Amino acid sequence: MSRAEAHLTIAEAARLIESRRLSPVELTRSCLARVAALDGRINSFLLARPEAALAEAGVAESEIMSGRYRGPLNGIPIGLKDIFNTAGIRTTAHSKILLDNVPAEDAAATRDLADAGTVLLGKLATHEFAIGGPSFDLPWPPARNPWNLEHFTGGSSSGTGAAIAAGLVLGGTGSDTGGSIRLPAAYCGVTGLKPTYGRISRRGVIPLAYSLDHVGPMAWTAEDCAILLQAMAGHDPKDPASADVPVPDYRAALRSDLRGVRVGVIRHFYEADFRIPDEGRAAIDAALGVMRELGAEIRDVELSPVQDYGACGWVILFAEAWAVHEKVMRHRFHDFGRMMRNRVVLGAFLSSADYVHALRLRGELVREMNAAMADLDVVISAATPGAAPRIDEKPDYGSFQRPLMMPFNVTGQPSMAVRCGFSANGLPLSLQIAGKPFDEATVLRVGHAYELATPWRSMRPALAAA
Amino acid sequence: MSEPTMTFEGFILLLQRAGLTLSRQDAGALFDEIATSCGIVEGMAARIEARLTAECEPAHIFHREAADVAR
Repeated sequence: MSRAEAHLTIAEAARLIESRRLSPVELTRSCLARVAALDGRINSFLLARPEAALAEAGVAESEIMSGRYRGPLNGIPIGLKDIFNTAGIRTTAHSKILLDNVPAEDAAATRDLADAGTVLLGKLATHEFAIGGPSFDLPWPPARNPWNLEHFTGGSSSGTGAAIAAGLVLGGTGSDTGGSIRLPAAYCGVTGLKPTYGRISRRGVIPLAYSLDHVGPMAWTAEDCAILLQAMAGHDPKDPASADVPVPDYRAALRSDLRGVRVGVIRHFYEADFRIPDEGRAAIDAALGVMRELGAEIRDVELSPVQDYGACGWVILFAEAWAVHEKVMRHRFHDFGRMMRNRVVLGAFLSSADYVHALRLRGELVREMNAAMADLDVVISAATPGAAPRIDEKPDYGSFQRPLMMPFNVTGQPSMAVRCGFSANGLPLSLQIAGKPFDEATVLRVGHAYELATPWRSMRPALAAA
Repeated sequence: MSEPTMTFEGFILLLQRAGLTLSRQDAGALFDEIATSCGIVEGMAARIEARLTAECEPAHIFHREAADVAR
């Protein structure tokens, strides 16, 4: 197999598997061959489990052949960010601190995906504890961008973005506290959805910041994200943040047009508050033109400066991350990577008043966003400050100052990164689409229609085409 | 870019309050490494405080469904 099979989307592979024209075992075998051939350069896997994956694929194949088809994830090879607990399988958060950690139970999302019949190829690289990276002082090297190995994947769900872009897995999981699904999705040119806060259970996922942590799907297309979301969404009484809100049929909401969809553009986020390069703005303008042709109504919308959302989110993130890590950090400070400890320790220097003030502002910003969206279905902004920088040139504090993704962690709305072009040096450019709380369906609809109308999804990294 | 307002001695006190027992050499290295980030975060806290009004409260809002459950 090969390239053709590895480059199937989940939806395409599912149709072939359901009709018994594609064997889950053969699909898994070909993905594993690609891992063996390519991941020595990409570093997206912290742990591959070839024998176990082939056994799971065999079970899936037997079930399907005996008429027990579980649905569109049955027999689909995936990977999990290594902060998702996996029963009996090492879960490290890419850290020396958890080098020997083998959970007794699956995370809720891990279990949901297994119950849907997925084949787990392995555990994927992350920034250390979902915040410190890209780091070169950890037990494993950082993942690299399949579009150009000298460039950054984005983080913290770095391995998931890279593995999907390279065609090593068809989909996977990420977590997003300040952009950690959408940033690697954007830099690696895949699609990544941060659902509404509370939409997917975080139980069994190693926390970074309690009130900002989201779990979500990453895949090659919006349709594939819809399939993965369907399996993971729903109320979990064991997650204090889980929302008891009905889960719609996400794929049923997908359309090839955008008639009647009202789109707001938060242009000042990326043109005035922080000015992204011309090629990024041109790509977003072109995307808005496509959406207009598809029937969307488009108008600009004005909010507080993106730096207000960024300040609010980062202060909450640092304070909560310190609360999560302070006990271990007091005893094992030097066992953490430099970048992780240098970020988390910032929370130790904030005052209680700083945290309370950030919570006060958060309420205000949520109200502002809700009011702005009262007569809109989605809002669109830039996803990143530009294309992926070189991995050795990423500043330690770049995300603090250009917080284009943080607004939707502060408000908890669903937001998705979708590729919208390429930079002059051949790296993906992306935009983000955010919706109303619990309306992932409309976000996915907009992303799906845009992807169908544009050529970007047909373009793979040269390395992945090997 | 914001610069930190804290001195190295103030930084040592904050480390102690946080329960981080680093040698003076390690503390010095850490101070050098995160000075810029400290300044940025100080700037964030100041930015937040500057735009708050008296009406801004971190209130927890109970929605009708929660009240129904409690009844």
